[in-house]
Parts: sequence; structure tokens; C-alpha cells
Amino acid sequence: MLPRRLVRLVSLFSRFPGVGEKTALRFVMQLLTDKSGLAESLASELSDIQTSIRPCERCRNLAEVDPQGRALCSICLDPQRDNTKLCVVAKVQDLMALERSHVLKCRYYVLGKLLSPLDGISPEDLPIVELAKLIASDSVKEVIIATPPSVDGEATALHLVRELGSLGIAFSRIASGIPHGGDLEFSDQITLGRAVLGRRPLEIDK
Amino acid sequence: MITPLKFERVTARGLRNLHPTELDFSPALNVFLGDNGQGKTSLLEGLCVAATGRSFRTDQIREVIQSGSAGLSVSVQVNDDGFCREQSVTIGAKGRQASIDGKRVASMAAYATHTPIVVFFPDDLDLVTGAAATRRSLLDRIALYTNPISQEWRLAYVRALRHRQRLLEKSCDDARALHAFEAIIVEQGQNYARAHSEAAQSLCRHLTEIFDVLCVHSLSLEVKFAGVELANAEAYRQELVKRRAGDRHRKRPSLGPHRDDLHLSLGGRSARHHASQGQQRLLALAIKLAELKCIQVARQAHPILLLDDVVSELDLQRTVSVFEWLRDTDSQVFLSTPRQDVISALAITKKEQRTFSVADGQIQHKSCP
Repeated sequence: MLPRRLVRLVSLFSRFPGVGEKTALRFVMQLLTDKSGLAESLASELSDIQTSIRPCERCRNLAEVDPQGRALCSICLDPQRDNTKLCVVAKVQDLMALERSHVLKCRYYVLGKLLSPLDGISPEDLPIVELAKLIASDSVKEVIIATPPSVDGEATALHLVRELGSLGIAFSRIASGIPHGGDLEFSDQITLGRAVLGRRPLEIDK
Repeated sequence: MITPLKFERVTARGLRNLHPTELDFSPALNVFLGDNGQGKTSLLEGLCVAATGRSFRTDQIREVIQSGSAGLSVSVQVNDDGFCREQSVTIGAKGRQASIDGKRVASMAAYATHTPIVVFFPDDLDLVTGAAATRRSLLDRIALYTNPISQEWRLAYVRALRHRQRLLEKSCDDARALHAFEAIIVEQGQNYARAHSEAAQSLCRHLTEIFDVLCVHSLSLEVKFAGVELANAEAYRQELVKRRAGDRHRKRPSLGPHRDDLHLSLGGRSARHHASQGQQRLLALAIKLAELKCIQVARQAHPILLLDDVVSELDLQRTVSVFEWLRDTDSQVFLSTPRQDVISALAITKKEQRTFSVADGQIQHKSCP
């Protein structure tokens, strides 16, 4: 069968989410047959990934450590960003999705977790003190809470508002419902129901 | 116009003690005759699995797989107002998979309501004599058809309730985080309670009607929905706050639609404690027929009725009134019984009847008596 080293490599690749043994084997075969230096590039990128990439000191987005040993992400370093708005998300992937939308030109804060006592995540595990500090230092006027529309996401949003309510700033919550260009006909009943319940009034043009 | 819905054919492999089976059904009445332990209930169970992905006998779906068999595959051809579709469920190494016309479905919950069925089997006596949870799941099931989004309300409500309980029991008195979960409990709980009360209203209406028809000696049935009044959100929230200490102490939440129940009384006395076994059984059957009616109204389709050993413990007069009900229904009926005499009694339904004999896991079509 496969040489032992390859078996080891396959089992390493199959530890990734969404990668089964077959896909892992395809990765390994690609590395073996590639002529463009894929294996070397991959090796050098991977060797120090955990020391050179760290959560951003301000917002906990992923950031590259600079020569001075500081980690600030590209969004926090961007002077064009609107400091008065701060968007709070559960995880880095959510931040990336929002960035792709190009709607928000603000700064972010990544919570890293959602309130979930059943999974052992208590209120004191949420980085609320850090978030409050950031709001004060950036003179934020509005916090946009973009946690997911689940029980845990909803509870986290309510808890944040309650905890940060005394700061005298505005809070908003992202809407949930039918995706743009989505066909009502093909929406599942739950999404559709939510969209109807969360409907907004239309202004009459005068 | 209420659309007819029929199982035309079933194919089953690896199902309990049954040999591989393929059967064509009558659109009206199908009777399975055989001694105990021969496979009558297993066949009805197979139809239930094919239509909903679940069994009425067990929550452990793998128990339905024949011992020694790698998996189970059961499919039904459903005639839905003249259009045919094939619904299949397989349970094997990859878990449970359902498909309609060969296409895998994403949500088992949506699949389960695609072809509505109603099952009555001996354990359904619990609807009358058992714990409130049995009657609550009945209301949940009806609400699934009358108000499909109620399923999401229920799941969100229960999760928020469990989060709150965990926070309380850790005796972490963080009033602020409790507040977050209680706000969700109030919002989802009000929705869920409304879904329950609507389902109960619909059920009560049909149940008293059906019970009057089935019950020969007029016995007055009273059905009352027992749920707390939660319409005022602020009062609900304050009550939750007030009950925090008590809920922590008792280790379970004491207020909300998760404690709803239906109170059933016959002639002014609790059916659970005072009715005879036969009366309880008749009432349980009436509840299932009322469930069928509720689903029929909500879905504008005739649900398929599966009756497992329905006439045992019913006296002759009541058996006749049940059969008369079957005569008048437009639902396709599947009925299992160990009693030969039931077959001839069923002649009063004047329906196109197909009888199958079940012996030692083999099912065979018998010519009409």
C-alpha cells in the first residue's frame, strides 16, 4: 500500500474540517506530482503560521505580527475607516463575509464566542471589558451587532446591549429574512415566516 | 376542495421481521390479518417510516432494522390528487436518508409533513392515561401543520429555557445574562403558547364532535386546554424573574408553554382517573381521529390513517360506531387485527377492501371474503 510517510500525511490532511480520506489522498498526490514548488511554498508558509499570525490586539481579527512584535489587522490599520461605527461579530469568518458585502466601512470587534451556558460559555467568558474599552477609546457612536439569528446569537446581542447600555451610544441589530434576488417560492417556510414577521413599513412618497 | 392522498404501493427491505415485501394497496381500506408477532404492526411501522422518517414504536430508529441486516430501505408510491411520487427512507451506515422522487431532502422535519399520516396504536392510550408530555406532543404535531413555523418557536424556546436553567443552577446570579435569555423565552414562549392554544382549539372542536359520534351511550366529554395566560409580555418577564430562586431549587422551569396540557373529563370526572379502560381507549381513538381532522383542515388533504389493533377492548356497539366512522371517511385506511371476525364486520363500511394475511413475516394478498 502507501509508504508510511504518505499515510501520515493523509491522516494529517484528513484532520481538516470537510476533508475526508479520499480528498486528503488527492491533496497528497497533487503535492507529489506538482512541478511548481507547491510543497516547498506550503512548508515555508506553514512553518511559523502560529507565531506570525495572531488575533489583532484591537479587534481580535486575524493579524500578521509586525517586526516590532505587534499584531494589528489591516482593518485597524486602515485610516479610511469610519471610527464612529463598530460592528460586533461572533467569528472571523463572519467579519470576512461582511467585508465582502462592502456595505460597512467601519471597524469590527470579533467576540470569538457566543453566550451559551449549555456549552459552558458563561457571561463572564465574553470579552465585554475589552469591548467597552475599545468603544471608549475610538469614540464609537453606534454599535452594530451582527451575531447570528439563533438563540445564542440573540441572547449575546441582548446581553451586550444590557452591559454596554450605560455608555450612551446607539445599538442596532442586523435584519434577517429573504436573501437578495432570492425567490420567495424557493425560500423555506422558516426564513419566509421570519421575513414576514420582521416586515417594515413603506413610506408613501409625497 | 380537499385533495385525496393514497399509498399505492410499498416496497420494504430489512424491516423488522418481514421478508422483502412489495404490496399494492386499495385506495380505500386495507386490512392486515394475522396472529400476534407475525409482522402486522411492522408493516404499519414501515409505512410510517416511509412517510415521516420516524417510527411510532420507538425513538431509536435503528431498532426498526432487521437483526442481521445492514440496513433498512422502505419506499411508498404516493398518489397525491392524481400525481404520483415516490418517497423513500433508508437507514444504514450513513444514518437516515430520505428522498422524494430520487432527490435527497435536506430537512427531515419538512419531509415528515409532506404526506400527512395519523397513526393509532395501543400505546396511544397514554393520550388519556399518561403524562402531560404525550398530550403536548399531540399539540406540537397539530401545530406543525396549522402553523409550520411553530417548530422553530418551540426549538428556540426550549433552548433558551435550558440556557436559563443552566445559568440558574450554576447559582451564578448574573441577573443581566438571565435577562437576555428571559427576553427570548418571553418572545418565543408567547408565540409557542399561541400555537399550542390554536392547535388545542382546533382539536377540541373536532374531538367533541367525533366523540359524540363514536360514543353510543351519550357520555358528555369536556376538553379544556390547560395553559397559562402569557399575553402580557412584561407580566410574563416579571413572573420569570420572580420564579428564579424557585426554579433553581426545583431544578426545572415552572412557568411557560412547556407545561401546557389538555384536561379531559367524561361526565364531569377526570377521564384519566375515573373512566373505564374501554372508555379511555375510545377517547384515545377519538383524539387521533380529531388529530386527523385538524390536519385535514390545515392541509386541505385527507391524511392517511394507520390503525394498529384498534378494536381490541371495544364492545360490539362501539366497534360498529368506529366502523361507521371509517365508512364515512375519505381517508385511506390501513388496519391490522388478529381477529378473523373483524373482516366480516368491516363489510358494513361498503368500501373497496383489500385483505392481506400476515404469517411469519410474509404478507400475502387474499381475495375478498
